[in-house]
Amino acid sequence: MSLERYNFETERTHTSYEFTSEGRNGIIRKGVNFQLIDPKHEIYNLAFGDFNAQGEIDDLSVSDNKDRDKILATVAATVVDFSENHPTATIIATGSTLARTRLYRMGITRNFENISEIFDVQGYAGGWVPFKKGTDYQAFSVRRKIS
Amino acid sequence: MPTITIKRNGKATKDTVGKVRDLSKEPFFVKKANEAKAFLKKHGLPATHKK
Repeated sequence: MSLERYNFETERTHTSYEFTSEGRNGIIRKGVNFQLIDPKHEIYNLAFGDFNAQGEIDDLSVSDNKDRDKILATVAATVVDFSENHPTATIIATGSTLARTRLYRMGITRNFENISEIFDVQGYAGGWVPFKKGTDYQAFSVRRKIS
Repeated sequence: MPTITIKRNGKATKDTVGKVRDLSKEPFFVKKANEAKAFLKKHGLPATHKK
């Protein structure tokens, strides 16, 4: 299944990505970054947000461009691209707000069949456990399955 | 830096390599990385991802 998404741009290390959301409130530039936070275990933190008028990024803005699913599909595509270039990396994502954490969960849940073919997915709910639909988690982790 | 089109399964996509600056020094992403580090320090590594 191929979800509708935006095309992204990245750089040679495949850790920074940008794409443009287009909707009823105009054009909004988005940034996605995979930051190495644990070199020993090759763990990267996934975060994304909007560029504001000053060219800085935050993830608290509500752009309300009515393209949430397309944005989530695009971020998911950056995860796939990142993992193709960093196949042994673990990616974690923690939401800045409950709403953002729910957004991550929703994105994983809706595409879980596709995601779980490629990745081992875990959630943190008092401990790291395999991701299950319908469960609230504080954080998520994905790692490409060893083929 | 030239733009290189990404190919998947031998087929070119419109995703591109080469135009994006390194965002890792952006204060927002540095802050998010520090929060994630603190989270892992407090709660531990994902179980199946421990090496």
